[in-house]
Amino acid sequence: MQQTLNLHDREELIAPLYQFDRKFWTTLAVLIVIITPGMLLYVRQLVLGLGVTDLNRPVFWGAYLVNFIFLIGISMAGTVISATLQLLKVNWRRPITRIAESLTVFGLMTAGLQIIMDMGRPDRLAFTLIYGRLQAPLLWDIASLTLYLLTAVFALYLQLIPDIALLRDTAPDTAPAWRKKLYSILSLGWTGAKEQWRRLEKAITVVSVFIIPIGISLHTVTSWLFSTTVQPGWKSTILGPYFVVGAIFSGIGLLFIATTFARQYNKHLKEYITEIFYTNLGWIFIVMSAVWFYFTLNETLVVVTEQETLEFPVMASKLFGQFAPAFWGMNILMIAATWILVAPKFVSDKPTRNPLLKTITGLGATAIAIIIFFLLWLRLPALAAPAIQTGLLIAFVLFLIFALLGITKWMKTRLITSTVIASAFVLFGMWLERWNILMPTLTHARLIPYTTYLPTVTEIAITISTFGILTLMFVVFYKFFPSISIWEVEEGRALENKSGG
Amino acid sequence: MNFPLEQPLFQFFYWLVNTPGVGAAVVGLLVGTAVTIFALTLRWIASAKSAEQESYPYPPQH
Amino acid sequence: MTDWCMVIDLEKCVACQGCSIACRMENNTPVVSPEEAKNGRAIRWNDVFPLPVHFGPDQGEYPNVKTHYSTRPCMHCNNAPCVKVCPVQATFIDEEGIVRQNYNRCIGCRFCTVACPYGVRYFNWFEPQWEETLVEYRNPDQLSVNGSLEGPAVRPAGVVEKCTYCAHRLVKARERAKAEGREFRADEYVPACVQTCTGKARFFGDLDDPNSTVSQLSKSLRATHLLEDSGAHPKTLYLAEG
Ligand code: SF4
Ligand code: SF4
Repeated sequence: MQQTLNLHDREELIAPLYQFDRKFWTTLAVLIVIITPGMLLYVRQLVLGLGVTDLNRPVFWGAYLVNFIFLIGISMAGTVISATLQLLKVNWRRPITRIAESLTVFGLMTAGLQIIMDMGRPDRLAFTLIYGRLQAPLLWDIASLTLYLLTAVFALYLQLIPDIALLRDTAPDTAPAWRKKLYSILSLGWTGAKEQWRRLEKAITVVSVFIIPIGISLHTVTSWLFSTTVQPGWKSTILGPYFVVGAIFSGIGLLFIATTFARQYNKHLKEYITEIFYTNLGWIFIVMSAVWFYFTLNETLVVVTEQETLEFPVMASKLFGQFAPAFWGMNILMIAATWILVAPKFVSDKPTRNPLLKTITGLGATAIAIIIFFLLWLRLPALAAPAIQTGLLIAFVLFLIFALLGITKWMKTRLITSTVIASAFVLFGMWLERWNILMPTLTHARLIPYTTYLPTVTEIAITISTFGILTLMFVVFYKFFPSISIWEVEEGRALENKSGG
Repeated sequence: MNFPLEQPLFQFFYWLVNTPGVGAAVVGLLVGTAVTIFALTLRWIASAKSAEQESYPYPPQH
Repeated sequence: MTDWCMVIDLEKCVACQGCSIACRMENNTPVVSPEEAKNGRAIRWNDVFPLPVHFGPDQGEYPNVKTHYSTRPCMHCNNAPCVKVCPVQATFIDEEGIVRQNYNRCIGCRFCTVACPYGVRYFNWFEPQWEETLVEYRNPDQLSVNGSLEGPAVRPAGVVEKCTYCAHRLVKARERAKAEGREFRADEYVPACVQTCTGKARFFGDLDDPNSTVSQLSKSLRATHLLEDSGAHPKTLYLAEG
């Protein structure tokens, strides 16, 4: 096996696993600094009670639940990318399957963590398993999450086996004994015999078929937590598919960010994860954004048109009430993200004479737009006349369009940077979307005066800490296992050679 | 129309969804089945020790 | 089968909040600081509030003022959303139609609080506290069957609590009747709020007994439920004003 292995791969992918250099320790230290405050505050919450948050009656659920849905959402990455593309035999998936699948596992783990943090009595967690009642949607969620997590771990492990065997066979002499032992146990005596490969491929295909419905079930069941209640704003039949679409959307976003992070962290990966992945997955991203807008329009338009007594105040608070910043912020982020992805496809990459497409125009327009935004925001008495306000609003939108036009050319030449910016917008927008689904309904209870909810330091620190933990898992995991599925890439090369030669 | 909860079958269904512990059993069953299947699959893969000396770094193309 | 039910005559209710206080003393409801209360953390199993809820009391123009108030215990719904969503059956409907809450089982997921359309359920954000002297006046009663902990028992932090129609009083009344060697009669048991009600606006009894006061009142043309359209089939009856 050693002889047939591409020496190059060994240099670039396996050698770094044993280099615990300055960069690794710094990353670790930074992450620990990010994680610690949240953990300390969580201990405080454990001791004092959930009252340290801003949760109240009727806002019994808050940032933790939003994080939970969000993390469940990003865990869709593995299912969609890895399993679907695997089944479709798409070739450019090969370098990123590993990252996608591990993101699923880590996302689900941190999502489970959020639920525990949200519980008033985490010490009674086992009760859900001892006394579990089938009628409760929460139990469906537990069942679905556990099954998905197990399947995701299994899928990840299956893909890893040949690479672990490779690690076992190529471990340098300097490698610590326990690591060698670990690899040799985990490799399950893999020799790479023909029959083993045949069985492995079969197993991978079967798991890929099964993990897709399991993943979709988890996102649907999570939406049922809300849509099976009788609360205004949640009683929606499209919440299930809406959550699934949002999950795929944010999952792809996170995948882009994670792969780019990996590429930056280990420069060698740039050879493996090429622009073709960004272009092709970018198309799926664009399609998902279109579907997402379609669902959002459905959710909004129907309620706005029917103006039902209970539902409409909830929607109104999103359109022009206390949740307007979050709602319109989400929409602007999503529109900007879609623009960033789509617009560069319409301009050529040759230098242009068109003044509208010059970067300088974009920068100028952005500056003016920001000034107008502040003028609107400050509500200066001199500009209070409705006509002036409307004019300013139109000017704001106009200059935003100029700004977007101006940066198009710049983005055209920077595919990866612009994709990452769009992904960040989408991730943030999707977090806001979950916020906009949860919070307006909770603050608009039927028999309790309307209230507000603003996360306190505790919730914010714990949220940051959760994302820190996610990153930490990612960084540590890829110190033990290659972040590229080596055998899949090899297979891809072989296929290319065969068809090419 | 009334919900036919007087019928034994529906009473059984209600017992099924409403009894603490039944849900736990279902989750346990799901997890147990999944873990067993996964373990068996792994054993099935690992046990493929054919006589051939040849080994491949990636799936042999048929 | 007995089906306990409360009837509240809003025409007679004077909004004195006596029921609220009686409930608090009977059920050891923890007291919270004014800041916490402002933040929506006050616990009132039985709440008295002005109507309409969302746009402030309907004052009218002086001197023709009219303010509407309502008082709200738990509705003890027949199709209780809170019971349906509890993953561990910490809240359940017993054979006599009372929706009860077991503090020893509740995991604090707060699904029931979110699901209840009436906002009847309260969460213990902190360990309950009483000012020094108040501790001595706590009700020693509690309800505990097979390791459960219900009723006025002091709640630990992180669990949900709610009105139980003073279920512990039912148990006590039954025990008394048994000790005295006689049949238990439905009128021996009333919740604390019914007992105390200034305007005699509250009635309590067995809805399955066609001769009971509540059965008679339930046939009144004024009889209505709170949020009839919530799908929860609430049981607590209101006799509408006017
Ligand atoms: S009013 Fe609320 S707490 Fe009471 S039984 Fe109905 S749903 Fe449950
Ligand atoms: S908070 Fe307690 S009573 Fe309410 S649903 Fe959760 S476990 Fe059940």
